[in-house]
Amino acid sequence: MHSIFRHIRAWLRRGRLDEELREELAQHVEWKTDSLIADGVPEREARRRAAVTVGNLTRLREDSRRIWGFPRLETIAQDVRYGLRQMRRAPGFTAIAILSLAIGIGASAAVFSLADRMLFRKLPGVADPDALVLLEWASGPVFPFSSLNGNGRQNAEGLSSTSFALVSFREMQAAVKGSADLFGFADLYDVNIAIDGRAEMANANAVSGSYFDVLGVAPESGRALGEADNLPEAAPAAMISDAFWQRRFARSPDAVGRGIVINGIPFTIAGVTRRGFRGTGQVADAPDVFVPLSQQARITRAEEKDDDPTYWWVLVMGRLRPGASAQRIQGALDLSLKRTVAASKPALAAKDLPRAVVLPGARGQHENRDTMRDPLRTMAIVVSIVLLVTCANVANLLLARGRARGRELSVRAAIGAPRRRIVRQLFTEGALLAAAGAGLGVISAKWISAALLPALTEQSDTVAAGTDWRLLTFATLLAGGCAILFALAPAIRSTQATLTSGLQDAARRGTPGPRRGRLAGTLVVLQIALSMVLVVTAALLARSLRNLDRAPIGFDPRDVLTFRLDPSLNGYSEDRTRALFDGVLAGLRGSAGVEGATFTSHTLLANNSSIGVAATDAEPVPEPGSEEAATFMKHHAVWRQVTGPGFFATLRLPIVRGRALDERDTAASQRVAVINAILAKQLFQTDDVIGRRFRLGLRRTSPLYEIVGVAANARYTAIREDMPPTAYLAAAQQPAGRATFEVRVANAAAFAATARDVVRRLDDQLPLVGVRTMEDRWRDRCARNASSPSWR
Amino acid sequence: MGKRPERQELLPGTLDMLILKSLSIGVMHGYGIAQHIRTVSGEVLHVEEGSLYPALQRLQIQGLIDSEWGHSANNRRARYYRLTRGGRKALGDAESSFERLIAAIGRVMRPA
Repeated sequence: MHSIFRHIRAWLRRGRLDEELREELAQHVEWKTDSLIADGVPEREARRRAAVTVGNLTRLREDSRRIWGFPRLETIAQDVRYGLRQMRRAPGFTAIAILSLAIGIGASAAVFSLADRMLFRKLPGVADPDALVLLEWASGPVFPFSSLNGNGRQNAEGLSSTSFALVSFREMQAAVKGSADLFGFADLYDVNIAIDGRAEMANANAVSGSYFDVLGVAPESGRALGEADNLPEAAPAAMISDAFWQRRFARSPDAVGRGIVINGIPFTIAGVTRRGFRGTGQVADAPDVFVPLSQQARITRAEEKDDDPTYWWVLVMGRLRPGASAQRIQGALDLSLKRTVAASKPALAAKDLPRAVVLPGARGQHENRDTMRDPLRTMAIVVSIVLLVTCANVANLLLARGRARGRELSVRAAIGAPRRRIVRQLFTEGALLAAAGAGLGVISAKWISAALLPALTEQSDTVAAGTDWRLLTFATLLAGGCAILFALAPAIRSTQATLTSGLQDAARRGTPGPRRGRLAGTLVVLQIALSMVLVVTAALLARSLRNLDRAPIGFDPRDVLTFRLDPSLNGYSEDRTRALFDGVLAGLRGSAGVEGATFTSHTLLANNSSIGVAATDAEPVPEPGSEEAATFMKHHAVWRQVTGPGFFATLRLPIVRGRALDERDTAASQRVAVINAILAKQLFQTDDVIGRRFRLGLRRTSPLYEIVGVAANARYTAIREDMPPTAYLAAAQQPAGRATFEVRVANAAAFAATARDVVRRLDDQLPLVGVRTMEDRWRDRCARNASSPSWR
Repeated sequence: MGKRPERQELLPGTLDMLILKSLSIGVMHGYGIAQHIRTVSGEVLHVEEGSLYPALQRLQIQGLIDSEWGHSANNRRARYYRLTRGGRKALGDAESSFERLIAAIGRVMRPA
């Protein structure tokens, strides 16, 4: 221990120590001389001999010096200082090298950061996420439920989903008690929140009694929701997220106990969830409010009762107890599920009952994550190629530089530097470039990942950005790897030249000759090959984007602002809703610069649609729930859109035959529809359908509609797929609920403020949701479609 | 000139021990230590300056010897070294292990 202190002290005093040693040696020479003179040697000769015997003083001093300090560190420091000097001396070269590396490492770091956040990161704020499981069910093509709220997938084999009936959840929970603790939750999507009169839209989740307990999420403030809150007589209590607490209350301690009105129902804030906790939902979700599961029905005003066994809306996860395994509980879960489903639909055959699937739950729900895998994989490949090209580029630059410094390296070899030392010196210079490039890259990674985010998800604002230690570690390792890749080989190659040939080369100067070397040639070929791959990839992506861009939409999406209103969340009746919508339309149309305004039941070019069944009277209607019904529905699917007055004119969707919907179509008159050419062909195999009728729905008693017009084919949700068969219905003839308003106005983006005013004048408790221009939605769709290339 | 047969190569690590032993007798300067070793060994062991001074620095850093500047007999400035307490202990350890080594080699070379 003490020797370290002595080392440090000696190192600090090394200047003086050197002086003293010099004096000491001079003295030693003197004595030696005296001794030789005393032996009878003439003075001159004596002095010479004494000096010679003492030998190489410089060597001696260097050896002593090495003992005083930390030799290894000192040489590294020397190398770094020298390297920095070299970098300053060639600023152009340094700048190009650092910039190239910054791009390569920055892009790699950005994609890593995205992949880490989306795919790898486990649920934050939760205790031991690896013990969590997520339940799912899978069945054949026959629907085992009547209505489902959540995510559902349909493929060739059948259906699957993470949503269960409440009774199934309760039975499964009891069935595996002792091996696993299950809890349930549901995404209530957007709810209308009002605190002290100020209204805003927020995202809410309903959770079962043991949710926070099993997850191990201690509240940041106040108390967590528990079993008592799910009892029917409990006073409505809610928890808010830490982020919401920060945003709305600035983390003030008096938030707990305050009142919060959710969709018109008063709740009390019981507590704040732990910082960083963002629920157990999809990867980009971050709910602001948590309410008990028992409050779900009141808040969503769903038509179905929450304990209806054919209404599946509860998502189920759980924590395995030590010693239990997924296989062990799967059997018990399967039995409970089949039993409850069979009881809810006795007509279902045994083979059509769903089976329970236990998935790892460390990362919450998986559906959105699954769709991100392909785009991320593509990005990772592209970015790796870019990095390789960058390294080859810099390696070549260093190689050229090494040749140019031939004379300097030869001189260093001449005064005794071992080859390893020189190689280490050159490698250090390369490592400095890599470090600088990595530093710049990490800074730009934030912007690059922000730019790439819309290609993965629509919820760009909820994903937390940030430079954290994982990113830095990755960047450091990458920089190290790159340095080895591009600096080592050129360093070794540059020192291969012998002493004399290096000096001779420099003398000859103007003839680099055929000595280019195989390494340089290989690097160039490698670079060209990889660059070609990149160029081709970029061209394909560009073409895909252009095709999407050029893809006809059917209506004119430019200069249209959209926003959504949901008055039912505030407890509006139907009549009041209709009056409100009329008022909003009047206000919008009265504003300056507005060419047209209308509304639709579902947002166009978003993930929002309503699909039903359209059939003519001529065809037999199959038994609902049977296998024939499933096939029938596939061939008779129709996309429904309820439209307000002025829809076709505002969106510039041309009518090809007949007329558009207008004031003639009221609640009292015959139900009418305008269908598109594709639907006409599907129903009647001809375009001449004015006056004909069709049934919307699977039952004999479903309403009959008369066709009054045929519209041009237009997009509904997807850009890339075929246009869907669509039926446009009149708002006056349909139940009124939510609506998306579309306003055609010159500077659409800037009109948002005016639109807000129009609505606020009618009801200041009603927030506008999803205020975006149609063009932005269109571009986002294109971006997301392009990032999952199908190499067409 | 040619190789003088009396010159003996030191076993590695023994130089430090010889220096410590020399200083155990009294305070000396560098030149004095080299002279002492040469004389006492009967001109067999000649310590090169290139080895001596680095060894002295090393022993100093390890805290086994101490140095200070003083004046020599003919009034010249010289650096004098002395043994520290730690050095005295190290010398004792080195001596005993060296003796053990020599005895072992002797047993092999002259089996009884």
